[in-house]
This record gives sequence, C-alpha cells and structure tokens, in this order.
Amino acid sequence: MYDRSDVLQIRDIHKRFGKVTAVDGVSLSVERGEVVGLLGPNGAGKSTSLSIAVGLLRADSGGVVIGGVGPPEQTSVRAMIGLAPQAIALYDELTALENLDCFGRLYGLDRTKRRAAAAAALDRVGLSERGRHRVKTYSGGMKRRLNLATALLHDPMLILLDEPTAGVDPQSRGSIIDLVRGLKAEGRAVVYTTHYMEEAHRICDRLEIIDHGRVIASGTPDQLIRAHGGASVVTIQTDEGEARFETDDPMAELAMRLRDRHVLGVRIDRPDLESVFLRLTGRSLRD
Amino acid sequence: MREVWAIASKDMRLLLRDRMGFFFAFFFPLIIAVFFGMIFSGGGKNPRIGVAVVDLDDSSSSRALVLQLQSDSQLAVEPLSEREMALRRVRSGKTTAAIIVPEGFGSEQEGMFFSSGAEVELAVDPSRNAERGMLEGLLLKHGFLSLQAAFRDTETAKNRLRVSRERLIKDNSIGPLRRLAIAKLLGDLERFVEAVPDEVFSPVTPSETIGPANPVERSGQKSPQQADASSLPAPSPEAWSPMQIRMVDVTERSALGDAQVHPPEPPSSFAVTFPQGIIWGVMGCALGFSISMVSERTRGTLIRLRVAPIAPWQILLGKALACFLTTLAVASFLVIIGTIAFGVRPTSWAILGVAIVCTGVCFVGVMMLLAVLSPSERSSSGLGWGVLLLLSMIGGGMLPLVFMPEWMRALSVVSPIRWAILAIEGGIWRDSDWSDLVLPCGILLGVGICGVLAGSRLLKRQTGND
Repeated sequence: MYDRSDVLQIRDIHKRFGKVTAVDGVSLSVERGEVVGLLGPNGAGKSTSLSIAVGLLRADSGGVVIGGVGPPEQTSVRAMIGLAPQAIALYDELTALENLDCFGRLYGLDRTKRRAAAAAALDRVGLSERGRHRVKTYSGGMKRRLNLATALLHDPMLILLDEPTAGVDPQSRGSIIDLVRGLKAEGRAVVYTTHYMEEAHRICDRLEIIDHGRVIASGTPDQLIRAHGGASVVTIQTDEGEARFETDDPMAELAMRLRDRHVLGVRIDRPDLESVFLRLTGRSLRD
Repeated sequence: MREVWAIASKDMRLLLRDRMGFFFAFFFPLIIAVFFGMIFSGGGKNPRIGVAVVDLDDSSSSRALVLQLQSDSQLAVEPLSEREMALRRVRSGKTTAAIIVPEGFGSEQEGMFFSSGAEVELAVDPSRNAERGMLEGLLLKHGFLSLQAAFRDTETAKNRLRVSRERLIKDNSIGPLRRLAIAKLLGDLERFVEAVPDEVFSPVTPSETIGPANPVERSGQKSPQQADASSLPAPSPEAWSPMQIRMVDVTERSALGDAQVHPPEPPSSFAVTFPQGIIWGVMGCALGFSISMVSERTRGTLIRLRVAPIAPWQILLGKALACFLTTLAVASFLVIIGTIAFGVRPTSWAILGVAIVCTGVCFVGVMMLLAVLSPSERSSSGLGWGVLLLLSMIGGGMLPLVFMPEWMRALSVVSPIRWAILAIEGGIWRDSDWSDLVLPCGILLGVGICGVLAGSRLLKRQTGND
C-alpha cells in the first residue's frame, strides 16, 4: 500500500472537529529531493493535514507513513521530521545557540554533536555571528531563519516548512529560498506551504491545491497553469481605441490582428498560479 | 530522563532570564516574610482568645477559677480533661493557649499571704506572642478576683482565714517576724469578718464573684482586660500573689511530659512569617510556570516540543520538574535567609524538608491545572492570581488563621495553603513529629497528584490527542 521510496506518504486521511470536516480524504506523497507545495485558502485544511503528517493530531481515518518506517506517533519516526512552524517557535530570552542546544538535547544529540550541528545550522542560515545573542534582539527575518535552522538541526530527511517566508524582508526571503533549494539538492523531501504564488512557482516541483479539506488539483506549476489557468488575455491599444481578447496563443493572435494597424501599446496577461487558484477555489489565496 | 532535564533546565534558565519573574519568585516572598514579621512582632489584639482549660485539681477553688475564666468575654474557653491534649492543641495551632490548673491548686490557695501562691500552668502558641502578655494579665486578675470573692462570702472568708492560720502555724519556713506580722493580719481580718453583719456579704453567683466582665467597658473606657499585663502588679518572690504563673513551652517535646519552670523564649515572629513567605514564593513559581506553559502553547514552541522524538509525558514531567525544583530553590533560599538573618531556627530539618517537598508537589499540580484552564498568558495570570489569592486568603497565607472568624477558619480546610503552612511550621517551630505530618502532607500530595493527572488529561484533550 505504501511506497517505501516515498519519504512522506499520506493516504486518504479524514479529520473532523465536531460537525466541521477539516480534512476530507487528503492523499499525498513526497519523494527524496522533491519540494511539494501545499496551496489553499485559510481554513482549507492545510495546517490540519500538516499536523496529522507530523503526529500532532490523529486522523479519524487514513494513515501516514514517514520514511517507509511507520506513523509519526512513533517517537523514533518523529526524529526523521524537521518542522518549522508558521509561528516563530523559539525562546526569545535564550540565545540562538541556547535554543539550538535545548532542541538538540530533545533529539538525543550529545554535547559534541549538538555543538557541531548548531554551528552548522547557524552557518546555513547566515546567523553564525549572532549565535550568542538573545533571540529577542533579532529582526523578523533573522528569527524566521533561526526558526528554519532549528528544524534542520538534527539532520531530518523530511522537512515541513509552514509559511517560512511570511513577513520577512527580501534579503531573508532570498536566503530562505536558496536554502530550500539546497535542501532539495541534498535529497531531502520538503513540504512547503506559502501564500506567495511566485515563490511556489520558483521552488516547488509539485503543487497540491487544497480546498474544503480536499486536494482539488495536483501537478507541476506549469501543468496546473495549462490545465486550469485559462487563456491569456491580450490588450491592444490602437488609434481606434482599446481591444481585449482571450487566446491560447497570444503571439499568433497578435500577428494576425496587428496587421496594417498603427499600434500604440500591447499587453499580454498570461495565466499564472494566482489565476489557477482563483479559478479552482473561487477565492484569492489571501482571502 | 535527559530529555526531561533538557526541558526543565530550559524553563529554569528562562525564569532566571526573566528578571521580573525572578524577583517575584525569590525576593517578593522575602519582602512579604520580613514585612509581616516586623508587623506581627509589634503585637496585635484579638477580642476572644481561644484557651483550652484543664482542671486537674477539681477543688472548689479550681472550679471557681475555671468558671471565672469561662465568664470572661475576652476568652473562648474550651474545657479539656487532659493536660497533654491541651498542649497538643496549642502546638498544632488549634487553640491559642492552654491553662492547666494542677493538683494542689486549692490547698495552695489556702496559704493566704504567706505561701508561694497557687500555681497555674500557661502554654501559649509562640506565634501569638501578642496574646501572651494579655493572658498573663487576665490570669493574675482572676487570681485576685478569686481572693476578693472569698471575702465576699462570710463563711468562705472565715474558713479560708482559719485554714490559713492553721497552715501558718505548721509552716516552719517562715521567719518569726514575718510569721508574727502575717498572724496579726489574719487575726485582724478574722475579727473584721466576724464583726461585719452577714447581710453585708450576699450570696454570690460565679459571675457576680468576678463582677461584671468589663466593669469599665460600659462607660466607654478601657477595660481591665484590655489593659496591658504590665499595668498589673508583677509578682515577686517577696510579695505574695494569689496566683503564680508557670510558662510551658509547647515547642519543646518535653513540655508534653514535664513543664519547664522557666518561661521559654518563643521563636521570633519571623518563624511565623517565613512559612508564609515560602508559600508566596511557591505560589509565584506555580503562577510563573503556568504562564510559561501557556506561552509555549500560544507561541508555538509546544508544537516543536511535541514534534520532537519524546513522549508527551516527558514534556509534562520536564515542566513539572522545573516548577518543582524552582519551588525547592525558593523555599531553601527563604529558609537560609531566615536562619542566617532573622533567627528562624527550624526544629526539624527533616520534617521541614519533607513539608517543602510535599508543598512543591502540591503546587506543581496547581500549576498544571492553571496552565490548562487558561487560553492565554493574560488569562492565566488573571486566573492564577485570582485562584491563588483566594486560596491564600482563606488558607492563612495572607492573614494568619488565628485572626480569622471561626467560619473562615473552618472554610480554610479546603485550601492547600493552610496545610502547606501547617506542614512547614511543623518543621520550623511547631516541633511536629512524623505523625503530625501525615494529614497535611497527605492532602498536599493528593492535591498535587490530582492536579497533575487532571492537568495532563485536559492538556491531551486540548491538543487533540486524546
């Protein structure tokens, strides 16, 4: 039933909270070296699915297997997971090194390994120089990076990043995106949730669009755009006025329509993930 | 266990980094203990002092004294049959004082004007130093009033004077000049009593014997009972007094068997206020850690802990261990300061240690409950202070139980703070033995274990893993 080559396998999970169905049959698999994005409006069931995936919640039915070994409720299996929650899950009054040391101890790392792992994690997110500073003195972007570093400390094979770039400066965002690419290159499996469509398009090999607790579309970003993005919208301004039309082949259409006309301006709006999302859910991602 | 210690040490480090939290955990209780210690050492008044009275003599004189004490509006007299029982009640804080009328009291009173005076034992709760002087004054007053009563009844007066004269003749310890003077006085008095018509002395009831309870009170002036003991004549070896007071130290185990002749030095008021200070420190710890636990939830760090490869019970045990160790540290700090700087001398370090451990366990349970019942740090703080202040108020953490009305004292049994104070005082000055510790420590451990179990169950339910 479960493919042992998949690092994360979620099979037909369901979860209800009272009368509300939060997850209604979500299935998902993530392989080594793959970055899978979860997209969905607020309340779609992404966070609940992630919580079930890491063992924070128990599914009413269905199952999760990590690394082909077992469910995340097993403590040994949880050692394979690195989670960077959406909230900055750090102790402000402790330094970065103290935070990393504390979590390293929970993962059973001995002192030597903890020190080496903490130094490597800080180096990876560009915070080596600030390791001995208390987290409360960090900027938002630095805290985000440290939040990510903490998830990587114990060298996990599955990394779940919940909105890792929310509210960070462009420099930190670039750094985080580079880091995720590096994780992919190392062969780790990454599950990534974000509100930034352009970011999802750049990073993710595959996207799962979730709404009302179900996966309503799945595929690479280009596949999704082709399948659900709709036609390109072309706007032409000429002496005679402005004309708008939809087409699947804007360049051919333009060549035909602009013949023998004095063109003042042309704009082509190609479909993107935002339009995919809007078409599939009827809502903007930020709703 | 390494993971548990990781969580506990992290929490304690966070407490140390939080200067305000550290102050409230360690120094605020010290301030409370010192402040109230200074206040209580200045004295205080209670309109009715609880007194256990034991009449071992069962003579007409001793019965008259007991009746006089019972009719005193300043005293709430509880007649008991055994001396040991009365002393135990004082030692356990159930009553303020014990008055023991020993065998031979009546015959000693017969040696009017020359005997050493009828002796009465008085044991006072050392934490009620303010009442001690007042009780001595009241006892002396009743001694004189009983003498006065004897002269208001013709037959009693004649009989007393006759017996006294007979004893004087037999007593060889009195010098000839003094014997002569006392014999002349007794003879004059006898002639005086015989000369006065009987109707001058009307039959008296016990309450009339001592006159109105507060003869001056009606006019709005200070009653004799309210007057300080120092305003009454102090008995001296040369001066005759109808009554001698022999102090019994209830903090000495030997007091239960053999009274000490010399009044013991009661422990300082700090011995009373430092247990209260410890309670304040422990409450601060429980509150601080309950807020930190709520913080873990609201700030997301609990998610990280729960995703780590450790069991949920290890997380809870880590939090509980941090709270427990901090309560021990706070209590130890206060005991050390109290011992070094304020003359607190624990009577049993072992009992004190066990009491503090049980108190720590109790408040770990309270901490767990407070943490799970509050959705946010703010509500945790509000709920925590509300609950703990209420428990403290009714449990004697703010105002000693003895100053409370009877109904509130009865209510205080529901507060673990009452039992914590009783247990800690048992090791500091009450000189409790292990059997005395069973009830308070049993209650403290029970509250702690129930709190931990209920808290962890509620936490499981809240985190959706039930």
